[in-house]
Amino acid sequence: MSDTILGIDLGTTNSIVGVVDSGFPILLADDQGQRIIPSAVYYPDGETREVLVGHHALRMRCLEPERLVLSAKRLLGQREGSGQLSLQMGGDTLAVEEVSAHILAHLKSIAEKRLDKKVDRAVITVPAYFNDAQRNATRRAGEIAGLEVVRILSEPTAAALAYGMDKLEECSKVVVYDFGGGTFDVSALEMSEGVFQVMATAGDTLLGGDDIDLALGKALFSMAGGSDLAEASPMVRSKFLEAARTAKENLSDEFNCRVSLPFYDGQKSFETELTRAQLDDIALPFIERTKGYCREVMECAGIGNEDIDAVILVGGSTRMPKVRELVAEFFGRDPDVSQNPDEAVALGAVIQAGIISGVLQEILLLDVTPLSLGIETFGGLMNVIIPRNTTIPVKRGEMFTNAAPGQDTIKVSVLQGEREMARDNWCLGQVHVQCDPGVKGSARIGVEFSLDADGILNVIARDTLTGKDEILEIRDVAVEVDDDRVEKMIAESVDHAFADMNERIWTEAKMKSDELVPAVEKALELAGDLIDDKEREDIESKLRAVGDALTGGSLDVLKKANKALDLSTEHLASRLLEEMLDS
Amino acid sequence: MKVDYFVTLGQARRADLDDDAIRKDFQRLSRKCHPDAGGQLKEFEELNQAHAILSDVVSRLRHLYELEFGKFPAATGAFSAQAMELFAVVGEVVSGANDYIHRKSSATTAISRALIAREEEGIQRSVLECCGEVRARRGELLSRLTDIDSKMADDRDSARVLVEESCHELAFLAKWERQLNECMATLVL
Repeated sequence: MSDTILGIDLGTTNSIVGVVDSGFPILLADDQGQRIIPSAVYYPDGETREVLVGHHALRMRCLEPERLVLSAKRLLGQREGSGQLSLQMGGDTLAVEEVSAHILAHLKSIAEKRLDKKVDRAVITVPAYFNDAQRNATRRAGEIAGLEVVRILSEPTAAALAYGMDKLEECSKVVVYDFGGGTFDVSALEMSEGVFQVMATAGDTLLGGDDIDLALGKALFSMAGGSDLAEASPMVRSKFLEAARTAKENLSDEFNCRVSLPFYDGQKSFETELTRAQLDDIALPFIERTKGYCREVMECAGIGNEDIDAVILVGGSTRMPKVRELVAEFFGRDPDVSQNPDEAVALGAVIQAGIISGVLQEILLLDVTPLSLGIETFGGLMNVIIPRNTTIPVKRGEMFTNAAPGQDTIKVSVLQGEREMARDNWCLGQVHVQCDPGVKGSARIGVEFSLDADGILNVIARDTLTGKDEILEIRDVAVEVDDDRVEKMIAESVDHAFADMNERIWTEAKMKSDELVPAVEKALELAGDLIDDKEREDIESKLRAVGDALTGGSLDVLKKANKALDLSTEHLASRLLEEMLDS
Repeated sequence: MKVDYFVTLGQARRADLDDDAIRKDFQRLSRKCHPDAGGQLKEFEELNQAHAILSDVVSRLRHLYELEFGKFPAATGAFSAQAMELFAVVGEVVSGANDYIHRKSSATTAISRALIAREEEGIQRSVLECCGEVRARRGELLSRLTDIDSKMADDRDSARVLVEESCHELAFLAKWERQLNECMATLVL
C-alpha cells in the first residue's frame, strides 16, 4: 500500500487533486496542464463509447446536454421517496455516487500519472454542513473509485488550513466565508500555535452560484419572450444557463456585457446588454440569505466583529463584487483575498492528508459536527444527544429501557437538525436495540452515539447486564412499508380528494375574509385623514360585499369580493407604511 | 470512581475559571492526545468531554458539586426573587414575539401586512431589552463564582447552596436567552 495520501476537493462545479511533495502541498495538473477539472461527466449513447470526465465532458454541453451530468454533488445523499435518489440516463438508472466516483477516478489517474506510482488513499472535502447521509455517500463514491477515504474534511476548515499554513506562530480568530457553485458554508475558527480549532459553523447545502445562474437564466429567457425556462427543451435550457453563467462571470470584471444567443432553438435568436446592476438585483436575495448564517456562527462562537482578525473568502461565487461588498459591510472589514478561491480548499485537503500521513507534524485540526444529533422521543419531539458545534471525535451515551412489557426490540429513530419536532429534522435511520423481554422498565441498555473525525455516526449498544457490545446498524426508515398497504392508502386518499377539495377551497376563501375584514376595519379606524370620504365609502361598500358573500355561500362571489376589497385597500396600506417610516 | 475533569484538563478545581485559559489548555493538550497526532482515541474523547463540561458554566458547576458534595439535586422550583421576576418578563416577551411572528406570517394581504409592520419595531425592542436583562442577571451570577471558591474551604454549607442555586438559575437564564435569540433571528429574517 502506498503511503501517499491524496488531498481532493470534490466541488460542485470544479474538482482538484494534490499531494504533499517534499513538505510542500502542491496541486496536480492533467495532461493538458489544467489543475482545475470541471465536475462534469458525459455518458455517451452506445456501449462502446467511453465515459468522459472534466473538460472533455463539458464540451458536450451544447451538443448533447441530456447525456451530461453537472453539479451531481447537489444530489449526493438525497432521498427520493423511500430510497436513494438516482438519475435517469437514457434507459439506464445511475446512482449519484457512481457519477461522483467517475470524477474521483479521473482525479486518481491524474495523480498516478504525475507521481508515477499507484495511490489508493485520499482525504476528500465536503461542505461543512453536509449531513451523515451526504458524508457517507461521498465516502462510498471514493470507494467505488478505488480510494480508501481516510478523512472527510469540511471545506471552510480546509481553506483555513491553507490560509494559516504560513502563519503558524500567530494566534488569531478567522471567519471563512465559502460561497461555491452549489453550497454555502461559514465557519469561525481559532488558530493558535499550530492548532486549528473550529468554534462554530453554519450553512446551506442548497445555496450557491448555480441558483444565481438559474435566476439569471430565467430572467434572460423572459426577456427573450419565453414564458418559463423550466419548460423549455434541455438544449435551450442549457444554452440560457451557460449564457447566464458567462455573463455573471464577465460582470465581475466589467460593468456591462453583451449576451448573445443566436438561433438558440434553431430558429429564434436573442441578444441583449446586461449591466452589473441588473445582475446584482437578481443575485441579491441569494446573497442576503448568507447573512443569517453569518449571524448564527458569530453568536454560536460567542464572538463579535472586533474579535475577528480576518475574513477569508473561498469559492467561485465570492468573485462577485456584490458578495464582497456584503461581506465587507457585515463584518466591518475588507475580506482577505490572499487565498485563491478556487484552490484554497484543495490545498487544505492536501495539508490534512499530510498531517494524517505524518509528513506534516506541527499542525492539528479540531473540527466540529455542524448539526445536532438526537433521537425521537414521546410526542414526536427531538431529544438532542450531541449538540451542534461539538468538537469531534465525540461520544455520548444514553440509557434505554423497554417501554412495554414483553418488548424485545427498542426502535430508536436517529435525527440530525435543530428543529424541536422530530419530523422537521433529517432522519438518518433507525437503530434496533435488542433487549430481554420482561417487565416494563426492566431492561438496561446503554447506547453510545459516537461521531468519528469524519462527522459520521456509529452506534454501539451495551447490555449492562451481560456487558456485551454490539455495533448497531442504522437502517433506512421506510424499509418496512408494505407495498399493498401503500397502494391502498393512495387509492383512499384519491377518493376523498374530490370531496375534500371543494370544502378546502371554500375554507381557504373564508380564511382570507377572516383575515381581511378585521384588518380593513382596524385600518379604517387608524386612517384618519389619510383617505378622503370617497375612498372610505368605496372601501366600506367592498367590506359589506364580503359580508354578503360569506352568507351567500357562492365560492366564486366570495373570491371576487375578497379580491375587490384587497385591491381597494392597497393605497391605504402603502400610505400607512409610509406614515410609519416617516415618524 | 468518577472522572475528575478538572484534572483531565489541568485546571484548578474552581467555580471561577477563565474561558480563554480553558480553551488554550484544551488546544495544547490536544496536540499530544488527538488520534491524528498519534494519541489514543479514548484519551482524546475524555479530554474533549472535559473541555465540553468545563467550558459551559452550568455543567462546570454541576460537575464541581458532584465532586465535592455528591449527587446533584434536581431543581426544586425554589427561585430567587430576581429570577421569578425575570421569568415573568421573559415569558411575556417571548409569547408576545411568537404571537407577532405568527400573525406576520399569516398576513397575506397588503393591508394586514401594513398594519402588522407598525408593531415590528416595538416587538424587536422588547426582545432586545429583555435579552439585556437576562444577560445582566447572568453577569451578576458569574461575578459570584469567586465567592463560591473562597467559601469552599471554611464555609462548605454556604458554598454548597451557592453552587446549587447558581447552577439552576444559570441553566434557566441560558434557556431564556436561547428562546429570545430564536425570536430575534426569526424577526430579522
